Amino acid sequence: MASALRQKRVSSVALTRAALERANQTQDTIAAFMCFTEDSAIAAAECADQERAQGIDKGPLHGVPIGIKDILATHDAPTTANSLALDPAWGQRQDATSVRKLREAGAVIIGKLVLHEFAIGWPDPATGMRFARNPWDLTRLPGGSSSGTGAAVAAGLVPAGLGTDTGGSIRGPAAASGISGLKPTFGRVSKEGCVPLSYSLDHIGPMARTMRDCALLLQAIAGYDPLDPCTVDEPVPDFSSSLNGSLQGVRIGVPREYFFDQPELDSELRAAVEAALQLMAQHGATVKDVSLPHARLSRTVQRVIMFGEAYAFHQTNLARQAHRYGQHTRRQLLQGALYSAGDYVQAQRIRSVLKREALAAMADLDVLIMPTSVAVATVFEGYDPDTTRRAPTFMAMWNVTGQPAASICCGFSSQGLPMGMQIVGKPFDESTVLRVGDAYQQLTDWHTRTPEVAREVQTA
Amino acid sequence: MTPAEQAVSAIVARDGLTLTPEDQARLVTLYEELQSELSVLHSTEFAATEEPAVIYAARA
Repeated sequence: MASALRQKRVSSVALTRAALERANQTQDTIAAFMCFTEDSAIAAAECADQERAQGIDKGPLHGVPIGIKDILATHDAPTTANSLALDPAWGQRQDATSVRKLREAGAVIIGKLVLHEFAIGWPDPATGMRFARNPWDLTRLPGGSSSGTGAAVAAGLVPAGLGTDTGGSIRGPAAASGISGLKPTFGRVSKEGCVPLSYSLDHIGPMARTMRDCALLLQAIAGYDPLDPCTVDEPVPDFSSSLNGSLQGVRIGVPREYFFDQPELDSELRAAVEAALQLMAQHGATVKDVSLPHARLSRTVQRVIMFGEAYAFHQTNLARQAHRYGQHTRRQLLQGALYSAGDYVQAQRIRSVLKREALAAMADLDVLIMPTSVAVATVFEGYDPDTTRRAPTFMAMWNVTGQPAASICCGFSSQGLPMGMQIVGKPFDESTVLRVGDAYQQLTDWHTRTPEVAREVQTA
Repeated sequence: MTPAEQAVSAIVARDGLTLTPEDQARLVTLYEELQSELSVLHSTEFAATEEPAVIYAARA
Protein backbone atom coordinates (compact mmCIF):
# COMPACT_ATOMS: atom_id res chain seq x y z
CA MET A 1 0.00 0.00 0.00
CA ALA A 2 2.83 2.36 0.92
CA SER A 3 4.62 1.75 -2.38
CA ALA A 4 1.40 2.30 -4.34
CA LEU A 5 0.96 5.63 -2.58
CA ARG A 6 4.60 6.60 -3.15
CA GLN A 7 4.38 5.75 -6.84
CA LYS A 8 1.08 7.66 -7.00
CA ARG A 9 -0.68 4.61 -8.42
CA VAL A 10 -3.41 5.29 -5.91
CA SER A 11 -4.35 8.27 -3.80
CA SER A 12 -4.80 8.31 -0.06
CA VAL A 13 -8.30 9.69 -0.56
CA ALA A 14 -9.23 6.72 -2.74
CA LEU A 15 -7.76 4.26 -0.25
CA THR A 16 -9.50 5.96 2.66
CA ARG A 17 -12.88 6.09 0.94
CA ALA A 18 -12.56 2.42 0.00
CA ALA A 19 -11.62 1.46 3.55
CA LEU A 20 -14.55 3.41 4.98
CA GLU A 21 -16.92 1.79 2.50
CA ARG A 22 -15.66 -1.74 3.23
CA ALA A 23 -15.81 -1.19 6.96
CA ASN A 24 -19.33 0.21 6.76
CA GLN A 25 -20.48 -2.78 4.71
CA THR A 26 -19.42 -5.17 7.44
CA GLN A 27 -20.82 -3.38 10.48
CA ASP A 28 -23.79 -5.78 10.61
CA THR A 29 -21.58 -8.84 10.41
CA ILE A 30 -18.02 -8.32 11.60
CA ALA A 31 -18.86 -5.14 13.55
CA ALA A 32 -15.23 -4.11 14.00
CA PHE A 33 -15.76 -0.37 14.45
CA MET A 34 -17.34 1.59 17.28
CA CYS A 35 -17.51 4.71 15.12
CA PHE A 36 -16.01 6.25 12.02
CA THR A 37 -14.15 9.53 11.78
CA GLU A 38 -14.99 10.05 8.14
CA ASP A 39 -14.64 13.83 7.93
CA SER A 40 -11.26 14.04 9.61
CA ALA A 41 -10.08 10.92 7.78
CA ILE A 42 -10.90 12.36 4.37
CA ALA A 43 -9.30 15.66 5.37
CA ALA A 44 -6.15 13.85 6.52
CA ALA A 45 -6.09 11.81 3.31
CA GLU A 46 -6.46 14.95 1.18
CA CYS A 47 -3.63 16.52 3.15
CA ALA A 48 -1.46 13.44 2.57
CA ASP A 49 -2.14 13.55 -1.16
CA GLN A 50 -1.28 17.25 -1.30
CA GLU A 51 1.93 16.67 0.64
CA ARG A 52 2.96 13.86 -1.70
CA ALA A 53 2.23 16.10 -4.68
CA GLN A 54 4.63 18.61 -3.12
CA GLY A 55 7.29 15.95 -2.72
CA ILE A 56 6.82 15.55 1.02
CA ASP A 57 7.18 11.93 2.15
CA LYS A 58 6.50 11.27 5.81
CA GLY A 59 7.33 7.61 5.52
CA PRO A 60 5.58 4.32 4.88
CA LEU A 61 2.45 5.21 6.87
CA HIS A 62 1.88 8.45 4.99
CA GLY A 63 -1.68 8.35 3.68
CA VAL A 64 -2.40 4.81 4.91
CA PRO A 65 -5.81 4.25 6.53
CA ILE A 66 -5.72 2.59 9.95
CA GLY A 67 -7.95 2.07 12.99
CA ILE A 68 -7.51 2.80 16.70
CA LYS A 69 -8.86 0.74 19.59
CA ASP A 70 -11.56 2.78 21.29
CA ILE A 71 -9.71 2.90 24.56
CA LEU A 72 -7.24 5.48 23.25
CA ALA A 73 -8.23 9.12 23.23
CA THR A 74 -8.68 10.87 19.90
CA HIS A 75 -9.56 14.52 19.44
CA ASP A 76 -12.06 13.82 16.69
CA ALA A 77 -14.27 11.11 18.21
CA PRO A 78 -15.63 9.99 21.56
CA THR A 79 -13.63 7.54 23.61
CA THR A 80 -15.92 4.98 25.20
CA ALA A 81 -13.84 1.91 26.14
CA ASN A 82 -17.03 0.27 24.82
CA SER A 83 -18.77 1.05 28.10
CA LEU A 84 -21.73 3.06 29.31
CA ALA A 85 -19.84 3.59 32.55
CA LEU A 86 -16.80 5.55 31.34
CA ASP A 87 -16.69 9.22 32.30
CA PRO A 88 -17.72 11.10 29.11
CA ALA A 89 -14.90 13.58 29.82
CA TRP A 90 -12.60 11.04 28.18
CA GLY A 91 -14.24 12.05 24.92
CA GLN A 92 -13.07 15.65 25.35
CA ARG A 93 -9.37 14.81 25.42
CA GLN A 94 -6.73 15.50 22.86
CA ASP A 95 -5.08 12.64 20.99
CA ALA A 96 -3.29 10.05 23.07
CA THR A 97 0.45 10.23 22.53
CA SER A 98 0.48 7.08 20.39
CA VAL A 99 -2.36 8.43 18.24
CA ARG A 100 -0.65 11.79 17.87
CA LYS A 101 2.55 10.08 16.74
CA LEU A 102 0.69 8.03 14.16
CA ARG A 103 -0.91 11.16 12.75
CA GLU A 104 2.50 12.85 12.65
CA ALA A 105 3.75 9.86 10.65
CA GLY A 106 0.98 10.58 8.16
CA ALA A 107 -1.39 7.73 9.05
CA VAL A 108 -5.08 8.35 8.32
CA ILE A 109 -7.31 7.23 11.18
CA ILE A 110 -10.67 6.13 9.82
CA GLY A 111 -12.34 5.19 13.10
CA LYS A 112 -12.33 3.75 16.58
CA LEU A 113 -12.28 -0.02 16.88
CA VAL A 114 -14.43 -2.25 19.06
CA LEU A 115 -13.00 -3.80 22.22
CA HIS A 116 -14.22 -5.84 25.14
CA GLU A 117 -15.60 -3.38 27.68
CA PHE A 118 -12.77 -1.61 29.50
CA ALA A 119 -10.42 -4.11 27.84
CA ILE A 120 -11.55 -6.81 30.22
CA GLY A 121 -15.22 -7.73 30.05
CA TRP A 122 -16.73 -10.42 27.91
CA PRO A 123 -19.40 -8.86 25.64
CA ASP A 124 -22.81 -8.46 27.26
CA PRO A 125 -25.48 -7.88 24.57
CA ALA A 126 -27.79 -6.45 27.26
CA THR A 127 -25.71 -3.26 27.34
CA GLY A 128 -26.55 -2.60 23.70
CA MET A 129 -22.88 -2.02 23.01
CA ARG A 130 -21.26 -3.47 19.92
CA PHE A 131 -19.10 -6.58 19.87
CA ALA A 132 -16.94 -7.76 17.01
CA ARG A 133 -17.17 -11.14 15.28
CA ASN A 134 -14.37 -13.28 13.98
CA PRO A 135 -14.09 -13.01 10.17
CA TRP A 136 -12.99 -16.66 10.03
CA ASP A 137 -16.23 -17.81 11.69
CA LEU A 138 -18.89 -15.29 12.59
CA THR A 139 -20.17 -17.47 15.44
CA ARG A 140 -16.86 -16.93 17.21
CA LEU A 141 -15.18 -13.95 18.78
CA PRO A 142 -11.96 -12.58 17.33
CA GLY A 143 -10.32 -12.84 20.74
CA GLY A 144 -10.14 -9.94 23.14
CA SER A 145 -9.88 -7.39 24.25
CA SER A 146 -8.57 -5.79 21.03
CA SER A 147 -11.31 -7.64 19.18
CA GLY A 148 -12.13 -4.94 16.65
CA THR A 149 -8.52 -4.43 15.65
CA GLY A 150 -8.05 -8.16 15.15
CA ALA A 151 -11.25 -8.51 13.15
CA ALA A 152 -10.67 -5.40 11.03
CA VAL A 153 -7.15 -6.40 10.03
CA ALA A 154 -8.11 -10.03 9.38
CA ALA A 155 -11.03 -8.94 7.20
CA GLY A 156 -8.85 -6.52 5.26
CA LEU A 157 -10.84 -3.48 6.38
CA VAL A 158 -7.62 -1.72 7.39
CA PRO A 159 -4.04 -2.92 6.94
CA ALA A 160 -3.17 -2.19 10.56
CA GLY A 161 -4.34 -0.76 13.83
CA LEU A 162 -3.49 -0.20 17.46
CA GLY A 163 -4.39 -2.53 20.29
CA THR A 164 -3.65 -2.64 23.98
CA ASP A 165 -2.45 -5.61 26.00
CA THR A 166 -2.68 -6.16 29.77
CA GLY A 167 -2.75 -9.94 29.82
CA GLY A 168 -2.77 -10.83 26.13
CA SER A 169 -5.22 -8.41 24.54
CA ILE A 170 -3.06 -7.80 21.46
CA ARG A 171 -1.64 -11.30 21.11
CA GLY A 172 -4.88 -13.18 21.80
CA PRO A 173 -6.87 -11.43 19.08
CA ALA A 174 -3.90 -11.67 16.73
CA ALA A 175 -3.86 -15.44 17.24
CA ALA A 176 -7.64 -15.84 17.02
CA SER A 177 -7.83 -13.69 13.89
CA GLY A 178 -4.77 -15.10 12.09
CA ILE A 179 -2.80 -11.85 12.02
CA SER A 180 0.35 -10.45 13.67
CA GLY A 181 0.40 -8.48 16.89
CA LEU A 182 3.23 -7.14 19.01
CA LYS A 183 3.17 -6.19 22.66
CA PRO A 184 6.30 -4.06 22.98
CA THR A 185 8.47 -3.85 26.07
CA PHE A 186 6.77 -2.10 28.98
CA GLY A 187 7.94 1.51 28.72
CA ARG A 188 8.67 1.42 24.98
CA VAL A 189 5.35 3.05 24.01
CA SER A 190 3.58 5.79 25.96
CA LYS A 191 0.31 4.86 27.66
CA GLU A 192 -0.72 8.50 27.94
CA GLY A 193 -4.31 8.95 26.79
CA CYS A 194 -5.23 5.30 27.26
CA VAL A 195 -8.09 4.45 29.63
CA PRO A 196 -6.19 2.44 32.23
CA LEU A 197 -6.92 -1.14 33.07
CA SER A 198 -3.77 -1.93 35.02
CA TYR A 199 -1.15 0.77 35.39
CA SER A 200 1.85 -1.55 35.60
CA LEU A 201 0.69 -4.13 33.05
CA ASP A 202 -0.92 -2.09 30.23
CA HIS A 203 0.93 -1.96 26.92
CA ILE A 204 0.02 -0.33 23.60
CA GLY A 205 1.15 -1.97 20.39
CA PRO A 206 0.61 -2.63 16.70
CA MET A 207 -1.56 -5.24 15.02
CA ALA A 208 -1.23 -5.90 11.28
CA ARG A 209 -1.13 -8.70 8.77
CA THR A 210 2.65 -9.03 8.89
CA MET A 211 5.45 -8.44 11.36
CA ARG A 212 6.95 -6.11 8.78
CA ASP A 213 3.89 -3.87 9.06
CA CYS A 214 3.99 -4.13 12.85
CA ALA A 215 7.54 -2.79 12.68
CA LEU A 216 6.34 0.26 10.75
CA LEU A 217 3.68 1.10 13.32
CA LEU A 218 6.00 0.48 16.25
CA GLN A 219 8.54 2.81 14.68
CA ALA A 220 5.98 5.58 14.69
CA ILE A 221 4.70 5.16 18.24
CA ALA A 222 7.82 4.13 20.18
CA GLY A 223 9.82 6.45 22.38
CA TYR A 224 10.07 8.26 25.67
CA ASP A 225 7.14 10.48 26.63
CA PRO A 226 7.37 12.87 29.60
CA LEU A 227 3.59 12.51 29.94
CA ASP A 228 3.95 8.82 30.84
CA PRO A 229 6.32 8.16 33.76
CA CYS A 230 6.46 4.49 32.78
CA THR A 231 8.15 5.20 29.46
CA VAL A 232 11.90 4.67 29.32
CA ASP A 233 14.36 6.99 27.61
CA GLU A 234 15.83 4.16 25.59
CA PRO A 235 17.13 4.64 22.03
CA VAL A 236 14.59 3.60 19.41
CA PRO A 237 16.31 1.53 16.71
CA ASP A 238 15.25 1.30 13.08
CA PHE A 239 13.02 -1.75 13.51
CA SER A 240 12.63 -2.46 9.79
CA SER A 241 16.38 -2.58 9.25
CA SER A 242 16.60 -5.73 11.39
CA LEU A 243 14.26 -7.63 9.08
CA ASN A 244 16.82 -9.52 7.02
CA GLY A 245 14.68 -12.61 6.43
CA SER A 246 17.28 -14.86 8.01
CA LEU A 247 17.08 -17.27 10.91
CA GLN A 248 20.74 -18.17 10.61
CA GLY A 249 22.27 -18.25 14.07
CA VAL A 250 19.08 -17.28 15.88
CA ARG A 251 18.99 -18.99 19.27
CA ILE A 252 15.49 -20.10 20.25
CA GLY A 253 14.48 -21.32 23.71
CA VAL A 254 11.43 -23.50 24.24
CA PRO A 255 9.95 -23.47 27.76
CA ARG A 256 8.21 -26.83 27.59
CA GLU A 257 7.23 -26.93 31.24
CA TYR A 258 3.90 -25.14 31.73
CA PHE A 259 3.72 -23.68 28.19
CA PHE A 260 3.51 -27.03 26.40
CA ASP A 261 2.29 -29.48 29.03
CA GLN A 262 -1.11 -28.06 29.99
CA PRO A 263 -3.92 -30.58 29.44
CA GLU A 264 -6.08 -27.74 28.08
CA LEU A 265 -3.60 -27.07 25.24
CA ASP A 266 -5.17 -28.00 21.90
CA SER A 267 -3.18 -30.81 20.31
CA GLU A 268 -3.36 -29.30 16.81
CA LEU A 269 -2.04 -26.03 18.18
CA ARG A 270 0.83 -27.72 19.97
CA ALA A 271 1.69 -29.62 16.78
CA ALA A 272 1.61 -26.41 14.74
CA VAL A 273 4.08 -24.69 17.06
CA GLU A 274 6.34 -27.78 17.06
CA ALA A 275 6.25 -27.78 13.26
CA ALA A 276 7.18 -24.10 13.20
CA LEU A 277 10.14 -24.76 15.50
CA GLN A 278 11.27 -27.58 13.26
CA LEU A 279 11.02 -25.36 10.19
CA MET A 280 13.03 -22.62 11.86
CA ALA A 281 15.69 -25.13 12.90
CA GLN A 282 15.91 -26.33 9.29
CA HIS A 283 16.64 -22.75 8.27
CA GLY A 284 19.52 -22.08 10.60
CA ALA A 285 18.05 -21.45 14.04
CA THR A 286 19.23 -23.41 17.06
CA VAL A 287 16.44 -24.65 19.30
CA LYS A 288 16.85 -25.80 22.88
CA ASP A 289 14.60 -26.40 25.86
CA VAL A 290 14.75 -23.96 28.77
CA SER A 291 13.26 -23.87 32.23
CA LEU A 292 11.14 -21.12 33.76
CA PRO A 293 10.69 -22.61 37.21
CA HIS A 294 7.85 -20.41 38.46
CA ALA A 295 6.03 -19.68 35.19
CA ARG A 296 2.99 -21.49 36.58
CA LEU A 297 2.55 -18.62 39.03
CA SER A 298 2.41 -15.98 36.32
CA ARG A 299 -1.33 -16.29 35.86
CA THR A 300 -2.11 -15.65 39.52
CA VAL A 301 0.48 -12.88 39.79
CA GLN A 302 -0.91 -11.14 36.73
CA ARG A 303 -4.49 -11.43 37.94
CA VAL A 304 -3.80 -10.09 41.40
CA ILE A 305 -1.91 -7.11 40.01
CA MET A 306 -4.36 -6.47 37.18
CA PHE A 307 -7.53 -6.75 39.26
CA GLY A 308 -6.00 -4.82 42.15
CA GLU A 309 -5.01 -1.92 39.91
CA ALA A 310 -8.24 -2.07 37.89
CA TYR A 311 -10.33 -2.01 41.04
CA ALA A 312 -8.46 1.06 42.24
CA PHE A 313 -9.49 2.82 39.02
CA HIS A 314 -13.10 1.61 39.02
CA GLN A 315 -13.99 1.38 42.71
CA THR A 316 -15.78 4.73 43.03
CA ASN A 317 -17.64 4.20 39.80
CA LEU A 318 -18.67 0.68 40.78
CA ALA A 319 -20.07 1.99 44.05
CA ARG A 320 -22.02 4.71 42.23
CA GLN A 321 -23.23 3.02 39.05
CA ALA A 322 -22.41 -0.67 38.96
CA HIS A 323 -25.49 -1.28 36.81
CA ARG A 324 -23.95 0.66 33.92
CA TYR A 325 -21.22 -1.95 33.46
CA GLY A 326 -21.91 -5.10 31.48
CA GLN A 327 -22.50 -8.00 33.83
CA HIS A 328 -19.30 -9.87 32.95
CA THR A 329 -17.17 -6.73 33.19
CA ARG A 330 -18.70 -5.77 36.52
CA ARG A 331 -18.10 -9.20 37.99
CA GLN A 332 -14.55 -9.27 36.70
CA LEU A 333 -13.75 -5.88 38.17
CA LEU A 334 -15.35 -6.69 41.52
CA GLN A 335 -12.81 -9.46 41.92
CA GLY A 336 -10.29 -6.75 42.70
CA ALA A 337 -12.08 -6.10 46.00
CA LEU A 338 -11.19 -9.60 47.18
CA TYR A 339 -7.43 -9.14 47.09
CA SER A 340 -5.64 -7.64 50.06
CA ALA A 341 -2.78 -5.16 50.00
CA GLY A 342 -0.60 -8.04 51.14
CA ASP A 343 -1.68 -10.14 48.16
CA TYR A 344 -0.82 -7.27 45.82
CA VAL A 345 2.65 -6.69 47.26
CA GLN A 346 3.36 -10.41 47.34
CA ALA A 347 2.38 -10.64 43.67
CA GLN A 348 4.80 -7.79 42.94
CA ARG A 349 7.53 -9.67 44.81
CA ILE A 350 6.98 -12.81 42.77
CA ARG A 351 6.95 -10.59 39.70
CA SER A 352 10.59 -9.83 40.53
CA VAL A 353 11.30 -13.57 40.68
CA LEU A 354 9.60 -14.21 37.33
CA LYS A 355 11.48 -11.38 35.66
CA ARG A 356 14.83 -12.55 36.99
CA GLU A 357 14.20 -16.16 35.98
CA ALA A 358 13.10 -15.17 32.49
CA LEU A 359 16.20 -13.04 31.93
CA ALA A 360 18.44 -15.80 33.28
CA ALA A 361 16.82 -18.36 31.00
CA MET A 362 17.41 -16.08 28.02
CA ALA A 363 21.01 -15.21 28.85
CA ASP A 364 22.34 -17.14 25.86
CA LEU A 365 19.18 -17.03 23.77
CA ASP A 366 17.57 -14.54 21.42
CA VAL A 367 13.91 -15.45 21.78
CA LEU A 368 11.54 -17.87 23.47
CA ILE A 369 8.78 -19.54 21.48
CA MET A 370 5.54 -21.08 22.72
CA PRO A 371 1.85 -21.25 21.79
CA THR A 372 0.02 -17.95 22.16
CA SER A 373 -3.08 -19.49 23.70
CA VAL A 374 -4.39 -22.90 24.67
CA ALA A 375 -7.10 -23.02 22.01
CA VAL A 376 -8.45 -21.47 18.84
CA ALA A 377 -11.08 -18.71 18.79
CA THR A 378 -13.97 -19.17 21.20
CA VAL A 379 -17.63 -19.52 20.24
CA PHE A 380 -19.64 -16.56 21.53
CA GLU A 381 -22.71 -18.46 22.70
CA GLY A 382 -22.41 -20.40 25.90
CA TYR A 383 -19.59 -18.35 27.41
CA ASP A 384 -18.61 -19.67 30.83
CA PRO A 385 -16.66 -17.09 32.85
CA ASP A 386 -15.56 -19.70 35.36
CA THR A 387 -13.95 -21.92 32.75
CA THR A 388 -12.19 -18.92 31.29
CA ARG A 389 -10.98 -17.81 34.70
CA ARG A 390 -9.48 -21.19 35.50
CA ALA A 391 -7.83 -21.73 32.12
CA PRO A 392 -4.05 -21.38 31.90
CA THR A 393 -2.63 -18.44 29.99
CA PHE A 394 0.67 -18.31 28.16
CA MET A 395 0.55 -14.56 27.57
CA ALA A 396 0.18 -13.04 31.05
CA MET A 397 3.75 -13.98 31.98
CA TRP A 398 5.12 -11.43 29.53
CA ASN A 399 2.96 -8.61 30.83
CA VAL A 400 4.32 -9.45 34.25
CA THR A 401 7.96 -9.38 33.12
CA GLY A 402 7.35 -6.55 30.64
CA GLN A 403 9.28 -8.30 27.86
CA PRO A 404 8.29 -7.82 24.21
CA ALA A 405 6.06 -10.59 22.90
CA ALA A 406 4.43 -11.09 19.53
CA SER A 407 1.88 -13.50 18.14
CA ILE A 408 1.96 -14.64 14.53
CA CYS A 409 -0.11 -17.19 12.67
CA CYS A 410 1.51 -20.63 12.49
CA GLY A 411 -1.24 -22.65 10.87
CA PHE A 412 -4.93 -23.43 10.70
CA SER A 413 -6.90 -26.01 12.64
CA SER A 414 -8.93 -28.76 11.01
CA GLN A 415 -11.92 -26.42 11.50
CA GLY A 416 -10.17 -23.78 9.42
CA LEU A 417 -9.39 -21.51 12.35
CA PRO A 418 -6.07 -19.69 12.74
CA MET A 419 -3.55 -20.76 15.38
CA GLY A 420 -1.00 -18.46 16.96
CA MET A 421 2.63 -18.81 18.00
CA GLN A 422 4.21 -16.47 20.51
CA ILE A 423 7.71 -15.04 20.14
CA VAL A 424 9.18 -13.43 23.27
CA GLY A 425 12.29 -11.27 23.34
CA LYS A 426 14.59 -9.60 25.82
CA PRO A 427 13.58 -6.19 27.18
CA PHE A 428 13.77 -3.48 24.49
CA ASP A 429 14.81 -6.03 21.88
CA GLU A 430 11.68 -5.86 19.75
CA SER A 431 14.00 -5.89 16.74
CA THR A 432 14.87 -9.55 17.26
CA VAL A 433 11.24 -10.53 17.88
CA LEU A 434 10.26 -8.78 14.66
CA ARG A 435 13.19 -10.31 12.77
CA VAL A 436 12.32 -13.86 13.83
CA GLY A 437 8.63 -13.39 13.10
CA ASP A 438 9.32 -11.81 9.73
CA ALA A 439 11.79 -14.54 8.76
CA TYR A 440 9.17 -17.19 9.62
CA GLN A 441 6.63 -15.32 7.51
CA GLN A 442 9.08 -15.36 4.60
CA LEU A 443 9.10 -19.17 4.86
CA THR A 444 5.34 -19.67 5.21
CA ASP A 445 2.13 -18.30 3.76
CA TRP A 446 -0.20 -18.51 6.77
CA HIS A 447 -0.22 -14.72 7.11
CA THR A 448 -1.32 -14.26 3.51
CA ARG A 449 -4.52 -16.24 3.90
CA THR A 450 -7.73 -14.29 4.18
CA PRO A 451 -11.19 -15.33 5.35
CA GLU A 452 -14.03 -15.76 2.86
CA VAL A 453 -15.84 -12.76 4.24
CA ALA A 454 -12.85 -10.55 3.42
CA ARG A 455 -12.86 -11.74 -0.17
CA GLU A 456 -16.62 -11.06 -0.39
CA VAL A 457 -16.07 -7.52 0.86
CA GLN A 458 -13.26 -6.93 -1.61
CA THR A 459 -15.43 -8.21 -4.45
CA ALA A 460 -18.39 -6.07 -3.47
CA MET B 1 -23.22 -17.08 57.44
CA THR B 2 -20.17 -18.94 56.22
CA PRO B 3 -16.72 -17.37 56.72
CA ALA B 4 -16.65 -16.54 53.01
CA GLU B 5 -20.06 -14.86 53.17
CA GLN B 6 -18.93 -12.87 56.19
CA ALA B 7 -15.71 -11.81 54.50
CA VAL B 8 -17.46 -10.71 51.31
CA SER B 9 -20.16 -8.85 53.24
CA ALA B 10 -17.46 -6.96 55.12
CA ILE B 11 -15.64 -6.06 51.90
CA VAL B 12 -18.85 -4.92 50.21
CA ALA B 13 -19.73 -2.74 53.23
CA ARG B 14 -16.20 -1.33 53.46
CA ASP B 15 -16.22 -0.26 49.83
CA GLY B 16 -19.78 1.04 49.81
CA LEU B 17 -20.85 -1.34 47.06
CA THR B 18 -24.46 -2.16 46.31
CA LEU B 19 -24.52 -5.54 44.61
CA THR B 20 -27.23 -7.69 43.13
CA PRO B 21 -27.75 -10.99 44.96
CA GLU B 22 -26.24 -12.77 41.95
CA ASP B 23 -23.11 -10.62 41.99
CA GLN B 24 -22.71 -11.08 45.74
CA ALA B 25 -23.13 -14.86 45.43
CA ARG B 26 -20.52 -14.99 42.69
CA LEU B 27 -18.08 -13.04 44.83
CA VAL B 28 -18.58 -15.49 47.70
CA THR B 29 -17.87 -18.44 45.42
CA LEU B 30 -14.86 -16.68 44.00
CA TYR B 31 -13.57 -15.74 47.43
CA GLU B 32 -13.59 -19.40 48.46
CA GLU B 33 -11.91 -20.44 45.25
CA LEU B 34 -9.20 -17.80 45.47
CA GLN B 35 -7.96 -18.70 48.93
CA SER B 36 -5.88 -21.69 47.87
CA GLU B 37 -4.58 -19.83 44.82
CA LEU B 38 -3.51 -16.86 46.92
CA SER B 39 -1.93 -18.98 49.62
CA VAL B 40 0.72 -19.98 47.09
CA LEU B 41 1.74 -16.35 46.76
CA HIS B 42 2.39 -16.22 50.49
CA SER B 43 4.46 -19.39 50.66
CA THR B 44 7.73 -19.20 52.57
CA GLU B 45 9.62 -19.69 49.32
CA PHE B 46 9.05 -16.00 48.58
CA ALA B 47 9.03 -14.67 52.11
CA ALA B 48 12.70 -13.99 52.59
CA THR B 49 14.49 -11.44 50.48
CA GLU B 50 12.55 -10.56 47.37
CA GLU B 51 11.76 -6.87 46.79
CA PRO B 52 8.44 -6.03 45.08
CA ALA B 53 8.67 -5.02 41.45
CA VAL B 54 7.19 -1.59 41.93
CA ILE B 55 8.66 1.39 40.20
CA TYR B 56 9.41 4.41 42.31
CA ALA B 57 12.18 6.75 41.27
CA ALA B 58 13.01 9.34 43.92
CA ARG B 59 13.91 12.04 41.47
CA ALA B 60 12.09 14.85 39.77
